[in-house]
Amino acid sequence: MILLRALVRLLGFLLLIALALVGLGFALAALLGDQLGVQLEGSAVSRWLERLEGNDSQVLEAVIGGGMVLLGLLLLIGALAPRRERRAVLDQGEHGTLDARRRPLAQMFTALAERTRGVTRAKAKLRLGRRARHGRLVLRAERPRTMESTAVREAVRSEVGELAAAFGLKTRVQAPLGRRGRRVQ
Amino acid sequence: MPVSSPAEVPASASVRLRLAAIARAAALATRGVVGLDAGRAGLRMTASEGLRVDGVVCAALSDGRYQLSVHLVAEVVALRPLADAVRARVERDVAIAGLADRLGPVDVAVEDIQVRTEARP
Repeated sequence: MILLRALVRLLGFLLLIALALVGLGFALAALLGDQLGVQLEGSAVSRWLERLEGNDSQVLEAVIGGGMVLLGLLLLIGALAPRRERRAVLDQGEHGTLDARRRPLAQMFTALAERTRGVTRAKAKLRLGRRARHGRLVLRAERPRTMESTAVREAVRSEVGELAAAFGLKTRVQAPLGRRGRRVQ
Repeated sequence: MPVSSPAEVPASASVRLRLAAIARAAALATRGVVGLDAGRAGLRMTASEGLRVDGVVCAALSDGRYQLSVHLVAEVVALRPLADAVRARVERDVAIAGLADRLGPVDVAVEDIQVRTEARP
């Protein structure tokens, strides 16, 4: 499914460019065909169309057509199939699983960071890995001028560290200066 | 029809539905649980005989037991103790109902977090 999605993206991009160029070519041929000396009659396209209308065997065209239909179906599946949501797994055992969705977990980390003394505003970005108990947490905790960056980083790290470790998240804390007017906890 | 309490489920109802109703009530009675979540499409539920238990998925296992998945909205609390508390309560209430031998693993899924916003002075 991952390969199919990548294929959809790549082919979609290339096909759009090809379609745009073909469209541009036809538009130019239609508008300025005489001036540009473009004539479809007697061209390869014209001969091919004539061959299609004839009674000869058209195996090659049938194979190409069938292939295009198959490719179209694969592209549709790749584009329309629902994505499986990645979840952060905390516990997995005989008694059951404990997991959480990414968004509420990020909310929780944000709330924990905002509770930390010296933080005016916090924002957590959480990326979950493909395997269970793998992911990356980036916490941006804004601070006032009166607080040292290192102190705030350490405080936030100790506040969220236990939960982040339980989910197997690698944590990075940033503590930039907050905007003026934001109040400290 | 949505079920909000195990008392609304008749004794003749399926074990699956009874377990789901008990689990829902047990989870809601646990401290730190704000509510249950059936999802945007309402598919996280157990339905049988015209009744529906939202937020709990009860699935039959090959050994005759049932696996429960409780999809909850939690407060900002430690999640592991919360899950343990939910499981303990579910197991206790299921045992009281006489269905202990039918209960399999209890999955706890945190679907949302409700953050209390405290007014700053």
